Amino acid sequence: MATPARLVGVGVFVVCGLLLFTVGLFMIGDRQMAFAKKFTIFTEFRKITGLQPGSIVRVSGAKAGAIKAIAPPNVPGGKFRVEIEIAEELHPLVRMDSLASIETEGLVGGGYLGVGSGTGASPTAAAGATIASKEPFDIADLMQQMGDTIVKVNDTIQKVNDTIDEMKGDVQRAVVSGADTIDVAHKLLVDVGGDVKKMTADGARLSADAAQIAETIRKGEGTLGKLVNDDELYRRATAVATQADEIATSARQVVEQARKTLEGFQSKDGPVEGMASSLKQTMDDARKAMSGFAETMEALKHNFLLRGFFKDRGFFNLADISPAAYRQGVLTSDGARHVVRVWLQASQLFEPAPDTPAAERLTAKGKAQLDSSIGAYLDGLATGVLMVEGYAQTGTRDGEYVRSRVRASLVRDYLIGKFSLTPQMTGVMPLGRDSAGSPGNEPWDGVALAFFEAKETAKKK
Amino acid sequence: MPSLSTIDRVGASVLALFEFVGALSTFGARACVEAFRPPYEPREIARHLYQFGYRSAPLILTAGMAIGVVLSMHTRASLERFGAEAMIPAGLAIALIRETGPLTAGLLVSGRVGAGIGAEIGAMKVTEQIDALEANAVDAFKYLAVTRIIALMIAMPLLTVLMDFAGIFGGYLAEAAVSGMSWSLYFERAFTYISYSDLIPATLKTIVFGYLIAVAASYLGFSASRGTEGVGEASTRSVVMGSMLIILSDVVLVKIIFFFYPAVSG
Amino acid sequence: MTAVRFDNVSKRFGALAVLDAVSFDIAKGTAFCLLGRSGTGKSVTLRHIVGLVEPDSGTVFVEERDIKGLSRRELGEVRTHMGFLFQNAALFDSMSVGDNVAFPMRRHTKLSDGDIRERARKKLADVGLEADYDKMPGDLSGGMKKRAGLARAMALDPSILLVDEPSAGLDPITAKEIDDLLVATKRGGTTLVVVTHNIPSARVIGDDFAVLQEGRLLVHGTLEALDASEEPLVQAFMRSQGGG
Ligand SMILES: Nc1ncnc2c1ncn2[C@@H]1O[C@H](COP(=O)(O)OP(=O)(O)OP(=O)(O)O)[C@@H](O)[C@H]1O
Ligand SMILES: [Mg+2]
Repeated sequence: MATPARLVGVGVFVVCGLLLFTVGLFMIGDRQMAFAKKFTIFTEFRKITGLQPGSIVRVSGAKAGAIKAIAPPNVPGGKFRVEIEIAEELHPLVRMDSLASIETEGLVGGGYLGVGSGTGASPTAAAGATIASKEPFDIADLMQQMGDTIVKVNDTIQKVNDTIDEMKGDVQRAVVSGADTIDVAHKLLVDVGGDVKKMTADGARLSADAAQIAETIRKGEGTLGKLVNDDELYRRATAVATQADEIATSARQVVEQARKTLEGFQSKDGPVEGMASSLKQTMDDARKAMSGFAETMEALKHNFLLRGFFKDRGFFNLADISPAAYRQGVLTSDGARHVVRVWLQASQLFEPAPDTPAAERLTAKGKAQLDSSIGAYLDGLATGVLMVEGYAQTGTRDGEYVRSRVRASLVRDYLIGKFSLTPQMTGVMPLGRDSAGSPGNEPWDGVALAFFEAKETAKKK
Repeated sequence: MPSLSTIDRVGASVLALFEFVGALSTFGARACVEAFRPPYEPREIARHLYQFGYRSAPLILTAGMAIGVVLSMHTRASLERFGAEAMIPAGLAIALIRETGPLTAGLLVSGRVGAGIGAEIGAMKVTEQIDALEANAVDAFKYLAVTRIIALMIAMPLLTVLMDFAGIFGGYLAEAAVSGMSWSLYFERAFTYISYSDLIPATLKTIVFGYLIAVAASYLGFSASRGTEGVGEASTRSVVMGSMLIILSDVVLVKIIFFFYPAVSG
Repeated sequence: MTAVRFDNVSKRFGALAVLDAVSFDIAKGTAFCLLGRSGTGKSVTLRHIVGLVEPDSGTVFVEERDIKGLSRRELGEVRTHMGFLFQNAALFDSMSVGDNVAFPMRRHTKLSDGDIRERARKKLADVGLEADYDKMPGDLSGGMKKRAGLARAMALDPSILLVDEPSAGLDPITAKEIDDLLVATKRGGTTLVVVTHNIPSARVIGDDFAVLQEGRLLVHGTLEALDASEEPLVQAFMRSQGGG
């Protein structure tokens, strides 16, 4: 029979068990804010990676509530409607311009829904309102974007090239129609042609970069790609895509303007006032967009995920290459590039500076020589590297080294300025008196422009 | 012909198996029906609850704490690699509450209580105490089996909750020894990722465990053959059957839980 | 009026025919002694009377009712009018001796717990166990268990008392006291069915006697009839002096 002592035991057991169970329920309830006053808002996502009903919601990082329900879209490509319950006390932070995003807690943590605190200017989100959302980062999306970018850039290059060809034809016709405008038109064509050509070359390189990045991501997708939710990478890739759009637009504008200008020359009334200057303006904009694009691409390449890849492909930081390593052929060792050198004598390039005779400066003749030397390689530079090698044969060892460096730097700075070369792709290499491979193997005093061209580009020539 | 006799023997054992399953199911179903007919024998249920619950609590608490310590060391080893030490309490609590707690509590109870039920009823059977109950106009099935089944169905989820908490506490001890984390922070973190759909179904499913353990053990006790050997056999088979039924039913139960709470599987 | 009637009752356990068309009547208020060698089916016969065993064929009537045809509730009702001392006492070893005796009263009467205890104490005193109320069955000797079992069987003052070897394992003095208790119970109007090997005690208690042999009643009648029997087995039995 059940004695009182036993009944006490049973009582203790049952009460303890139920009590602990209740504690558990309250812990969960507390987490989901089950017992706080709440209000409901909505947001929508195309993808709900890692979210599920019951997932935590944080407002500006503070535990705020839970996802109550997720209604799937009824058409493909539609958005999931997410019902969010948020504690009333955090209501003042949730504004109509608050942005909902899917976040993960730590590297391998579970997903939660983050709601950014809105701005004071915007009204608080009323119960039942729908706030904007930021789609979650997705490797597949990124791949798609990179792919689109490549297509877009290639498209633009094609179009621009076509237009330049057309314009050449137009100029020919202009020559026939009116002899007095010929000079102006020709000058314009040279101006525009150079810039557009430069943009085309940049575009080609960017397109190649984009392809490489996409490839890297694709390769990494199975392992690191899935594990790492790299927001920065995503942001950059998105920026690349957006800028590709901008470039395509400005390139098209440039071409359009150029065509209009030409038409103006061809018309009987002569050139419309200000047309040439407006063309210049467009051209500047386009160049700016292009350099921004190049920067983004560069940053992307330095992203930790992709760094290894670019290193493998020989994308060294040129400033980090030592003369010894350079001599051993680091830039050609992977077999992707071959080198062509143009040797230039110091006497043809430099003159002593008027105030400090020890220092040298480029002469006008030297500049012209450089211009003509680089002309043939400008196309190849889109995907290649230009290394300005400096040589000096007089003075002490250290003196030679410094002089060779100064010479190379002078040339590099001039070329970058004149031809808008990518600084990261244009290096200096002080080699002192070590002038192996010079014409006739003579000790060389001056510089050599070493063009490291991608093999494919070289083949096409 | 030896082959024919082999077939005969296989056939006989298959038949015997079906007979066993049939008898066990009938027994279990009868318990469900009888549970709702008076008399309800609350005193007996309380007595068994004392035996199965209160008296099992020390075992469950000790084992739970030990499991908590071990699980904590394992989760630490794997989460440390990702630099996710902060997730240790949550990882441990999820593992404990969802599966480890219910299943180990079930297996321990099957060992302690299942064996006890099998031996006790078996002994009553072979010493004619069951007949004596019947001769005293007491429904022995109700009095012995149904009360135990109900008591274990009540005790099992409570023991599971004890195990869960003992495990979390054990995990805390292991964690505190390494990082000196405070109990309140640990406890708070432990419940970071637990939702109702983790705790409630996983705890309530042990009611089924309790039912299965008690039904199997009672049945084997009731069908104990004469002699003390029969008692020992009933006891041993109760543990084996109980553990097996728990593990097999767990497969189905987890699937059912996933069906009704899809969130749990995600 | 008959308290118990067997009508052509047959019972087999596998190949073993324990009872083979056995018929007998036990009149109300009399004592029926069932004799027979070990393993002949005496205990099985008693079990038939409380419905723990069902006959393969034939009918067992208790107070004129066919036991087999009763619902569970009716059977329970009939059983509360019967007391059964099992051959090995069959005390509930999860309860104390006193609780064992109180058990039938707790289940089937509305008496207060105090009254039940008092009555249980009295029943135990009847069998000489007044000091052992709080002992557990495991702590009792075989004879004490037997007596406690008898106290439990008599707890509800049954109208039919079935006892399986009541004096087995008892010293002659205690055995005599048990015999006296049974005789006194019979005087109180209770029908006794006694299985025993102890002929002197049977002579004191019994009104009717039967000897079971190979599934049949070898003889059935009064003491005189058995004493006069020509059967060697019956003669051997009647001449024996001791035993359980
Ligand atoms: N439940 C059962 N299953 C199988 N056989 C049984 C069962 N009950 C009794 N028997 C067999 O029936 C026969 C009669 O048994 P029973 O217990 O009635 O003998 P008994 O006359 O009481 O003997 P004893 O004087 O030794 O107590 C025995 O051979 C016994 O093995
Ligand atoms: Mg017997």
